[in-house]
Amino acid sequence: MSVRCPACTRPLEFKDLTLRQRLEGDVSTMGHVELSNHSEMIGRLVCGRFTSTGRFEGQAVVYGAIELVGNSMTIGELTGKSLNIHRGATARAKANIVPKPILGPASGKLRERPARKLIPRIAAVSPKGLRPLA
Amino acid sequence: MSEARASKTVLGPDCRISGELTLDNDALIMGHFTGTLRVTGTLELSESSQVSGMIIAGALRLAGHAEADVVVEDAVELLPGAQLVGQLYTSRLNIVEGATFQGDVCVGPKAIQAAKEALKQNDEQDSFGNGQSMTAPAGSMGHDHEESEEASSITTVPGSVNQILQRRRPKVLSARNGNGIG
Repeated sequence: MSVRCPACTRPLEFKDLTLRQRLEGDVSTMGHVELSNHSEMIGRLVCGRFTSTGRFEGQAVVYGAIELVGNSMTIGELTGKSLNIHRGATARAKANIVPKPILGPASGKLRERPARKLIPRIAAVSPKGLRPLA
Repeated sequence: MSEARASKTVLGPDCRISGELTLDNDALIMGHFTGTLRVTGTLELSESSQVSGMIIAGALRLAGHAEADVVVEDAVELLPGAQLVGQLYTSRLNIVEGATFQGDVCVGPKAIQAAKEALKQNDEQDSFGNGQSMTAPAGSMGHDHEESEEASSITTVPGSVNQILQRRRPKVLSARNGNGIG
């Protein structure tokens, strides 16, 4: 089964991911992203749920719950539906916690991502070939 | 537990208070409050409450609306329907689904020290007449920075922040008087 984003029609990935080492880069999935103990991520993150026991630095756009567990370290921006920071965890971030999920890349943080290629819809077949809709 | 802690101060929904309010026990506020609110115990802000200014408390349970800088020693809980805009310093934070928070969070074992430094910065800015919002000092929460010995001496938020506020008052008053004369 494949699911497309209702806003941008991009196919959505629902893979869960557990990070156990250092990662410098962007991650985008609608699944659960977990930063295990002693792991580190620097970059932008878009995911369905985020749990961190490691170190995260960057922007996180989470469509569900954010959970920062003891001894984790978070610096940057957090956007999500709910936020739970346990005792012992450290967070210094700009937070935007709203009940409604944010749909579409325009409202997310990965705005500068290259735009998807638009495939023109085919309306009719002419003798000269396929003609896109006006 | 002291006798003072056993009781709870309740401000009803028809209450409108502005200024400074200090309570040495738990409190439940259902009305409107503008100014500096200091509660030693647990502060509950009900759904009908609206608070703006600054909140300093031992613990906070928010269900209403608040536009304030918040310094809480123990835990902050934002219940469904709660709205908080401002800066938040605490050691534990739980924003449940349905609540709204917009602002900066400074959470961790050294959050109180960060709040203290931010208040100090605020004091200095006030004394120069630049009334800017409270900001967390860069790196004050980082694990990689050296821990100052002062952090361990701070035991309670209300006590430590009260000292700063008490020190701040004469400075602010003198600055105001100075401006008024000049």
